[in-house]
Amino acid sequence: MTLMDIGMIRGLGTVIVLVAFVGLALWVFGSGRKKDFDEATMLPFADDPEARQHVEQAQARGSRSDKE
Amino acid sequence: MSTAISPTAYNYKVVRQFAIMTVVWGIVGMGLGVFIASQLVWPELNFDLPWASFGRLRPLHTNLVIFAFGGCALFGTSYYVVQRTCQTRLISDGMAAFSFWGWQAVIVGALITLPMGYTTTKEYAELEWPIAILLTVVWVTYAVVFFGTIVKRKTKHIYVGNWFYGAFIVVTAMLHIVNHISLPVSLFKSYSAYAGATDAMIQWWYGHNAVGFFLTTGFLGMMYYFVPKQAERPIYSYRLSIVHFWALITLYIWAGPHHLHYTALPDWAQSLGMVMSIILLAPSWGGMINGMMTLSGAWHKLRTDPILRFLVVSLAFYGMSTFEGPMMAIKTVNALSHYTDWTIGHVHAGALGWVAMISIGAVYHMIPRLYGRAQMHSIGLINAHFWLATIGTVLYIASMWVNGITQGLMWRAINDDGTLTYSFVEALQASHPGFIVRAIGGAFFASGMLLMAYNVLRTVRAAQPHEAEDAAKIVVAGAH
Repeated sequence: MTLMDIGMIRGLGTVIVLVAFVGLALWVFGSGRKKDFDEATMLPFADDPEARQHVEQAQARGSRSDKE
Repeated sequence: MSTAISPTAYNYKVVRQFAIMTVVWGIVGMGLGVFIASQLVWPELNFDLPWASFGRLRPLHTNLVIFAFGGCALFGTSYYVVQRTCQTRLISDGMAAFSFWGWQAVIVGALITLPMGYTTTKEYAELEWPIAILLTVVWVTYAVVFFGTIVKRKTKHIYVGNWFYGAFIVVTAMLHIVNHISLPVSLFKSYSAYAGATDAMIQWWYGHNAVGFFLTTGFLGMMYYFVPKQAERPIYSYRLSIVHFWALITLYIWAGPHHLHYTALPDWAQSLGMVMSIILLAPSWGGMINGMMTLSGAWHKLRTDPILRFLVVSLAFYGMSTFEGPMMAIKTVNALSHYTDWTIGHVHAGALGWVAMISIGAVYHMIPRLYGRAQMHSIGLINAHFWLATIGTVLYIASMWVNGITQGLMWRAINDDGTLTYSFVEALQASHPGFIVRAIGGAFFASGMLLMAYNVLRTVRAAQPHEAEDAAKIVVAGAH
């Protein structure tokens, strides 16, 4: 019975994936990245002035202005 | 807000080529599907010709709808999305053109060799080694064009849709190369490098990730661009899209063993596949909800916009089949469903409802923009197509549920003395009405593609060359 048997490897694998997921969630929901995400989310409209205008008008109307 | 016309333009030529071929191969592949569905109703339709037999035409059908129809849709939309969200032209017109003509050559190779009976016998990887090598070369070229374009992007961020397309390209290359490693013995015959249960596991690691990365991750890339763009609303939550991406690609790669329940595959691998498949429900539904909620506050658009309806209903079918899949991966459920028509119904809920519908919506969105037209020739025809596709899919899935559960129950029924209650032929006879309904549903779906072809033809015919040229100009919305 060595320390690194298959059960230990599986256990460590589970821990690594759990830590990665929690780390990802903390990174993603950190408030510091809000500006970046707000910019990135507009990229589909960035090269289409007409669509961009429609999106901005809809946002200005405030239907979803208090979201996030 | 100021806008400046950049002197450069997007490479729309290759996108137009792939978009048109999506429609063409859709008709051929789905038409062939209706034909082999009819063979199951009327077996005489194999005409006693070896190359028209179900066993040879079925792999051709799957190759045509997955790689020809679905593949062209993915190439076309990814080239469109990566250029527009990076605000730059593809890095190489020559390599892009090679990826188009090379991909068509692979498909023509499938059209010729599969009916002749040349096959590796690996499902969804039937193409023999010379064609598989050509496919690898084309795919690597595709990867260079796609990632090269991302590298020279004019924008700060890489839009999330491109992350999904990128994962689809990288993982598909890995799956194809690993699964196809083989020893050729002649020009059109090779033997797999793997043996026994290992070969089966490698094959279904490939097979399920063909579903997970080719038919899901790639089309999610499509979803993250075309749903927000068509609805003119940003994606519901960009944060959720990032969690969705990493969770999905981490989990999907482990789900393959659920194709090998109760086989010679070690029990622990079967259980692993089952557990990973069930956990997959979470990121799948996270993505579906992200797409659906993009419409919150704008649901009224569905009443007037059949293109948006295609995109949103595809998400509904995606949600349905990603619930059904984990359920079928549970070993006790699989004991009933495996080898029955339920599996075929499940696949088509995903293939017709999700993959085809989102591709059709994306092509209807792109065609007018690629040719400098305000909109498609006929919105009414898009609406008719939508209903044909929806009714066809529902007929297909419902008939296969009934057939699958009937078959599963009849096969497992035993008498008091332990003998089987029903012979196989009795279960087959009980399936006949379902086969008829399935063929009708498929015919509904395929006939919708003919309306699409006509609509696309009229739209393209009406386009002026200078309008099409203007449409490709890169317009950058400046600061405001």
